[in-house]
Amino acid sequence: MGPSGLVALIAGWVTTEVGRQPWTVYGVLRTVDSVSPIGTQQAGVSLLILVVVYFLVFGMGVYYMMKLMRRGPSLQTEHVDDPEYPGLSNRALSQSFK
Amino acid sequence: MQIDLPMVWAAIIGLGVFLYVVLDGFDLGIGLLFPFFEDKAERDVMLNTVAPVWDGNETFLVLGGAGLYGAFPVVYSTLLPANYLPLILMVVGLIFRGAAFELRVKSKRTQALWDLAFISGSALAAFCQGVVLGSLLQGIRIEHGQFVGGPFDWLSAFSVFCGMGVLVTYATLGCGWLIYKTDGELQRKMRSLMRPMVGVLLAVVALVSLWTVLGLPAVAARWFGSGMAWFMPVPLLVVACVFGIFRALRLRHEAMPFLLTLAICFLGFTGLVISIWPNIVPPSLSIWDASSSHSSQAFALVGTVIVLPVILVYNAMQYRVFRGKVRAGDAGYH
Repeated sequence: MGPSGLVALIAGWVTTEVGRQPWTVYGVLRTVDSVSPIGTQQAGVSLLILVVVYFLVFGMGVYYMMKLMRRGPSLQTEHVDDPEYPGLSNRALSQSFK
Repeated sequence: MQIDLPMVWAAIIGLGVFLYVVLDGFDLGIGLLFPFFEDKAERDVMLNTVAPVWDGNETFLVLGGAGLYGAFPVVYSTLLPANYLPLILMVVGLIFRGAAFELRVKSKRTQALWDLAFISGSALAAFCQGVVLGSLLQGIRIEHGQFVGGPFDWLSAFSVFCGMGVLVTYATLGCGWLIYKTDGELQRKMRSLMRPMVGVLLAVVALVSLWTVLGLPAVAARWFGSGMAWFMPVPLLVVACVFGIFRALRLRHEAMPFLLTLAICFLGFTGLVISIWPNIVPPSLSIWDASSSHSSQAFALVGTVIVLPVILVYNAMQYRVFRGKVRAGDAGYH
């Protein structure tokens, strides 16, 4: 079930972007009229760059998330009291507003 | 009295661009200074001085971009496509740098990799910003409100030199910031690095000025025309600021080198405005030609008048909250 939220999110986005074609602003501005004056080559190169960058950065992100999940939550039992900055003390929430 | 909305919007966007350049400038500068400091503890301190403020600083890039989109759509739809590749590369640089900010402190085996991402991301973003500035100065081919140049119109010896000039400017800002925010041995190293840095900055500013005046007759006509007496204080004040920095370094002032570097940036920005006014995109697109409709500008202004002061106040507050020296072993705020 893990990635189902992500799939739903992206599916929703694809539905809106594809569903409104051929309009950029529905009923007002056609996609073909709103294209920037940049060539296919430039658009292609930038798409390629972004795909590579996203795979790299998200790949690292997923790796770190997996690592954190494998380790599991840590049990913080030690009590830390910071008199100078009380906000940094790790007292239980029920004790925080004395 | 009728308010000249294009003027108001030009001032807002000018403010946004200037704040972006100096604020993100000094934190991008930290990345540019990383190669001079190999010690991990020193790098940690350098990064921690900007960790709480860097993403707030980048807000102003969004303000500038969104402002152009709303108030000067012709600029947005010509300047950006004309600089498509450098802008994409700038964004890539900012992505790697942003990821490095978050992940470097947490990583152990891959820390060298994130250091590299931080250095190269900062350098790429800064260099590309300079290239865009250079390409704006040399002019963009526009016909009937459309960009009609080629994909590499931005590439020239001048724009590449502007890219390197921005690298030097940001590194100097970063160095001044670190003199202000650190103490002890690291501050001493920053002080001795600041001297050559400011010298190189002065040389770069002089070269870019000379190159624009010699290469662009319109700019020369502006500077040496009837307003010359009014404009002459700008270069003179730059030289005065440079001497002021050397003096402040000798007298061990902490904030003054940074403040004077900010002043140099402000003078540089003033010089840019003098050179291209009343155009927003040289050679011929003025701020009035490039404006969106009166109602669009008025509508967007209402929101801006409310939101901009809020942004300025919370940005000022974060600097206040995180004021004071940063030392090794301090808790990092990431």
